[in-house]
Amino acid sequence: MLSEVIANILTTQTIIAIIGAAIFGMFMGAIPGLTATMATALLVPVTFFLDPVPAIATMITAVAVAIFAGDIPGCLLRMPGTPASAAYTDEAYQMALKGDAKKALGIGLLSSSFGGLFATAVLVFVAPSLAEFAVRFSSAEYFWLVVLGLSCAAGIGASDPLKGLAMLMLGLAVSMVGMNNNAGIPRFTFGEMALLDGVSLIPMMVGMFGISEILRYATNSKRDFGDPIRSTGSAIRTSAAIIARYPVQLLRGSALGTVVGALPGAGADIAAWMSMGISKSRSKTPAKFGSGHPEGLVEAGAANNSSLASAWIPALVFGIPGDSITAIVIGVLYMKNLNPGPELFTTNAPQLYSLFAIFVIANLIMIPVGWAAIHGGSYITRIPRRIIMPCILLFCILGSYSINNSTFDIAIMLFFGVLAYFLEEAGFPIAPAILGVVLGPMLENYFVTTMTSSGGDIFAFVSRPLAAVIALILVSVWSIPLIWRLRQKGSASITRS
Amino acid sequence: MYYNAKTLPSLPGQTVGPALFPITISIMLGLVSMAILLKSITGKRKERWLTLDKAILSPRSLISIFLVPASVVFYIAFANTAGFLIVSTVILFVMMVAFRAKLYIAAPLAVVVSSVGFLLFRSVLLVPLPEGAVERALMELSHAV
Repeated sequence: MLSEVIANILTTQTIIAIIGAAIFGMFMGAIPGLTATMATALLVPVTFFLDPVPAIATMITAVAVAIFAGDIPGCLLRMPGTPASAAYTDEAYQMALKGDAKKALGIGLLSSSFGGLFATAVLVFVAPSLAEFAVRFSSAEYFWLVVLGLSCAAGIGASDPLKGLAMLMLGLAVSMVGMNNNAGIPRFTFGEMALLDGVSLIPMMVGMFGISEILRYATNSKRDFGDPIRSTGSAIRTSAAIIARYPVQLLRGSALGTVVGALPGAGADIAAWMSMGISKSRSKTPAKFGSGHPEGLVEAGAANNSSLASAWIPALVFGIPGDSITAIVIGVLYMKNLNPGPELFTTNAPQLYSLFAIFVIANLIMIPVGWAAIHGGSYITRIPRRIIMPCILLFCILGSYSINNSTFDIAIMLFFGVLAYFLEEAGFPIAPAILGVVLGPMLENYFVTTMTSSGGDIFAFVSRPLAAVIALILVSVWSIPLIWRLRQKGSASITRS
Repeated sequence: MYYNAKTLPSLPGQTVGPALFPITISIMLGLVSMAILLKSITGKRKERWLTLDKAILSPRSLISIFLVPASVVFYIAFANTAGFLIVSTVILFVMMVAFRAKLYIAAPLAVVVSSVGFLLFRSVLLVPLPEGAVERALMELSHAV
């Protein structure tokens, strides 16, 4: 198998794909407003024309590099390139003001790389054993897992869980369009032939993440960046020495990021915020936080990148996306006949292990590409958005069209882009809607299969011990925050009286 | 959604028909919407429905915002007759100028980016992009060479 893995990786197509994706990811991450999710969505049309391993390799590499690159404008302009960098933007900016920009970015680069490698190791060891266990799952267990994933998506990602839930319902409603249901009956197609196959996910996502961002920029195109701080300070060797002073923080950030990433619905940004919080509360010098102290940078920098790899655990083993990036990846896996699920580990083992190896390569290639970007950081962040945004608009059109060579998909992209813009401005998060569209058909399919196989007996959902355990976990996921909030309210009213 | 789902047929011998999920989701969507509405009415904090940037009211911003969907509609309407290169160059040029790029930068960049997009998708990724007079002339020229 090892020789097959090496043969899969050492092809010209894969090597070019990895290098190209690393450079693409660096630009997407370094320009504020362009996210790693948008980078993944824009890569889908390209993956269409690649072999399975290089296709997925482009996504793994671009995302890993983009999440690090988000630190660059955060550090030099106080403007995070991706939401995942927002947690420690102030800290890095303060370091840059002191003349330590390169040091701050070097810490971000090395801790990101370490976090990514840590989570890859977990992915390699945990995913196959989890897959062995998951072979025993029936449709009832999968049904509860999907509900669990949907619950996390609605609750964790949104500042207002109700708005998250509303978006989830919207996503589920969109997933009902077409005739991809067990009965094969067209639903909500309004007589439109193009909708019989359902709403195409990629144009929808390109619209929601790309067009909405262009519209947001159009509302105030004067809002370009100020002059970045010149990236002064010493380079990577000093950063490595600083990281070596915080081994516990590095490991804790990587471990927390890995756990958070594996939870469906929680992504790199939440991992970074949580890590920053923990780092401050556990620090011996919490007062130094906010004044350009590297401790939080080490921990949160490792956390956001480690969450990326571990989000692949539920995606590969159960076909349940951990975040909006893996939601896109699952679509590509299906397109490439690498259908996610426990069988993937037996039927397509060499290709799967090649992907694991690419995770390692992506987190290593990040260092030279990142090093170059740190040195040219102020030039990348200076590329004007008035030029970039129209180009992205064109590539959104091209990307949406090339999936099915259909102008109807361009219209879908526009519709969901405008909708997403207004929803986001009203405080509704986008990610739950995407997860709703991906998980909706699975939810219905597992429900109908369980009901049909049990002859309509609703207790079939909890009659197997495994299913009952997952159902119990789900109940606790819903009830614990409620009880906690009620207790807080109770203690607050006692204090007041 | 609820009433449309009610009209879906049920299958003989099946316990769960294609109407169940849409009906359930429409009811839940209705409940969640009501809860959000109630929360915004009874909430202590007065929340604004939309938190749009104030700069949106300037004529320039309004034109820029209008141009984003307009250029997509323009592409859908004219790409098949005028061809990809002309339509995409026009879109890029107009959008760059609307976003305050200098004319002498926008014009050559629009031509270069749309040509690169065309070459990448048409020649490398083999996507059959819409062809017009310019594309046909270029093809003939390349055949002649």
